[in-house]
Amino acid sequence: MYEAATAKEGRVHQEFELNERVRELGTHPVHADAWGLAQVNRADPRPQAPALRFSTSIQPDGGSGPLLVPSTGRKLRRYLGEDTISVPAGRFRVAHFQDSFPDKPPAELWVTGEDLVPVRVAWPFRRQTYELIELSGEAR
Amino acid sequence: MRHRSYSGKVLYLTDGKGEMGREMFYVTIQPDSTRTMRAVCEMDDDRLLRDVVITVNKDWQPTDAFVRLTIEEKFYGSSWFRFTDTLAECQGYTVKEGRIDQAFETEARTASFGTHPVHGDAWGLAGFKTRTPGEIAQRRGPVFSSSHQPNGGSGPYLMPTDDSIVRKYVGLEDVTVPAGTFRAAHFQMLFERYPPIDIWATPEDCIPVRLRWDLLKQTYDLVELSGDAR
Repeated sequence: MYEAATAKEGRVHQEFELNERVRELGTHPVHADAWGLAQVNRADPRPQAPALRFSTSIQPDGGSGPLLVPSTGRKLRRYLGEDTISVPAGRFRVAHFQDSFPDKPPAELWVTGEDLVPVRVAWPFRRQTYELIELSGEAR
Repeated sequence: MRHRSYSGKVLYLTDGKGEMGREMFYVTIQPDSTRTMRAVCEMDDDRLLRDVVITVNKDWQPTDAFVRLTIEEKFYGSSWFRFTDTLAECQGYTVKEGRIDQAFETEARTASFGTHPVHGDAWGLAGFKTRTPGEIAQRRGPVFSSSHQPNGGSGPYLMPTDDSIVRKYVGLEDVTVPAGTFRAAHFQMLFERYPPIDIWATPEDCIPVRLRWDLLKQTYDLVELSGDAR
């Protein structure tokens, strides 16, 4: 269920009847992309289609809505293994994933620990790399 | 990107006990003076964690907000709020009340929405027009709160509030806190039954520098501030 007001759409009420719990809501922070990787079965090296997933926007930069948009299901995720990488925030033991799309180059994601903190994300489609430059607190 | 921003941290200090909570905030201000505050409030003694996102217009009137409560490490409630010239509404879900759908028709735009960060109390400074000693702040429009509990530990929902609290301007004073020395505007929230709350805030952005309430024997001090704060 979704309630919102946007400048373009006005007051919005959306409801989707579902047979299962939503596994993921894509809200477009890079951090949320990293959290989505919790759904990946790391024991399976094959590309995996995300389970039931919604997004707040289908724009690559999240610049529409925000609305409740059912995922197209065309993204595939793959676990590529463990690695160690250095970024300005330090050196991290990371899990490496790849998101692939039928119409865009794949994105590479490196996340650390049980908290799935994004350490580096590279998305050639936007010609951008996202790097962790600060991390404090009790991150695991 | 033409907005400016600042961020910081306020400690909740109890007499004789020390740090009993903290509030981290990040505020953005758009060129039209629309202001969005994101605050995370941690209250150790109540084991209360509150996430707040609230936006006000150039006149410091709320336009929309989101409040999420966790109490004793369990989800308590999560609600979205929207305010127009004629409406105040809430859509939410709480463990106690279930699905919430509230709408209040209002004769004017809501003047204030209390979401319980200390930062929101400091925004009360914006209600003074002349900032002369002794001025009583005037509010035009209804006032709501996300909870009538002193710690904000209910709901969150839309609670009409009898705004009987009188806000009185005291004057500009130098205040030194761990974040530095500030030329701060001092005002008081006056109650019929309780001692006043003293608030010192930066003049333009109304950032809380210090709050003191003898009733709770608590002082709230700004300990970190960075960015383009005014």
